[in-house]
Amino acid sequence: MRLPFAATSALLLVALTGCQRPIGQPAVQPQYYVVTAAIEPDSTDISASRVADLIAPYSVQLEDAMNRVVAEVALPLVKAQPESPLGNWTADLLLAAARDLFPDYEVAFAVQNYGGLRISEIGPGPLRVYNLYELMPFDNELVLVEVTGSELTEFVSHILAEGGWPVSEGLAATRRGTTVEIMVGGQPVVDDRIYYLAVPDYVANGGNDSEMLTEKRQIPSGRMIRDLLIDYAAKANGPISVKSNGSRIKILD
Amino acid sequence: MNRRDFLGKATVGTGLLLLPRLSAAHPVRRARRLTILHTNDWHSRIDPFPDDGGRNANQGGAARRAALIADIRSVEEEVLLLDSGDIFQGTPYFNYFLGEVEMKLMSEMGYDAATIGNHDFDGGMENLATQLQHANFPLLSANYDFTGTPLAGRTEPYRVFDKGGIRVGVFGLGIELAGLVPEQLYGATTYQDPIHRGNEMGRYLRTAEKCDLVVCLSHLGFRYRDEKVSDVSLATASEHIDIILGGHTHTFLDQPVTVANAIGAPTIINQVGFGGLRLGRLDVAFPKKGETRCVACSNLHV
Repeated sequence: MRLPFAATSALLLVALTGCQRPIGQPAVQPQYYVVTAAIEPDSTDISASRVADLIAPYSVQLEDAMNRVVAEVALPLVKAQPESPLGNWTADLLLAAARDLFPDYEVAFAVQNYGGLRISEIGPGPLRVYNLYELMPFDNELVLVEVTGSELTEFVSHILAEGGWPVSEGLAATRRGTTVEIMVGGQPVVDDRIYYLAVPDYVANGGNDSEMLTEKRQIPSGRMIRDLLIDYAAKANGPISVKSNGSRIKILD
Repeated sequence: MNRRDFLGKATVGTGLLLLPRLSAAHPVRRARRLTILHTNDWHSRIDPFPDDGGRNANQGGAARRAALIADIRSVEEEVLLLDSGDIFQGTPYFNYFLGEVEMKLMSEMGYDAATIGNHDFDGGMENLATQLQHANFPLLSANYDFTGTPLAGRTEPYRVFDKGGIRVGVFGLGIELAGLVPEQLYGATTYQDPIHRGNEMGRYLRTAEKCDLVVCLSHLGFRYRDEKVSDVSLATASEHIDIILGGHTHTFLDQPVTVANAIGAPTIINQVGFGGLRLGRLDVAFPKKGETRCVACSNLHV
């Protein structure tokens, strides 16, 4: 192997002074290695060859399904808070899916918890099935949750307190200090009205500290969010070029 | 620099310890140096990140990590390879094969122990128990009580490793599951206070097990703005933990952070990001018999 070594940290010595050590006080010298193509193993690396042989039969099973191109991404889909192109795109796909899956309900908006999106950017370039597996690796189901206007306000306040989660069109939420202003479909929230929100079952079951949604009526779709993203991303008319203008989630404090 | 050249240079000054013949000729001689290698949150990143122009494009990858570890083992006599959890979830390998590939790879690379991250519950506890069949290393957790679950009796709170006469106590601590992991995935698992359990384990490993070094594999997270327990709050409240190898927050620490513990002694906290992008290394040197700590320090300063 004739390849450059990537990086190590500056050397730092830290003496440990814990008591009762049978063989004296140690000093610790740290460093780290960046795992890059510069350490590409070759046939002389027996351990790496064994690892590659171990992976091969699994990887061959995934290849065709995962490399299928679903759509084309024109502008990079980047994940950020309080809102972002990747978040808006994902939440809008979930809203479109929910409207098809629940024709008997008026779906107010869709929400995806921020931590549930597991990669920070997609594209530009071909959007492949594996991108969507990496974006949404979890086997979460899309569900509708039935809430009152005041429960909706509590949930959206939590979204704001968390720094902003991906939400679809239909919601515009602003926080100024301790004041929260929420518009649903361009209208102020009515406390005792019933609203239907499309969310991952993880969130509906109280995940990511959304305990205000637990025990609320849930309408299951039987469809996994990842599969819906794969299906609905493919429906794009032309290359995907989502921009985020900050109109959905504003945090002004 | 050539990878092997680099490793050769890194061990200058400790060459005597690395001569196997010398060790064999003096079997009672104690090693004075231990190399800890560690990962966290590698999240099923078996192949390198896709080569798509993104931030981590074509970085990471299990085969490269294996090559690196093998290189280090070829020059260091006493190596401990540890992982701080979230082995599972993040690429289709987990969705399709449920952690089997990850466990086989870590066994092949020679991991000595790992702790349990919140995403290691993602396939359910029954699945984690099943995948443990493919692991030749223990899962350590000192603060999850798995009584009455499929993981009962399948994990251990700690392990003591004898590395050439250096006794290293390693234990695991996991994050609170309620509100983070769907309840049906962790079932009857009881979460116990990590600071209380960490102090109990540290005391036990130092006194009863006479460990020279106490290492905590933590999936608590590096640090939080609120009161949530973290590696920093654990270190501050601890007495006998020398090194915390952390995870969960995907924190890239270019150098470990040193925190004064409850009795004013340093505890080292390290974390190496996520996705197998980095391999962390801590070389722990113990002074020769009769040397004082300060002599050892000045000898080792670069």
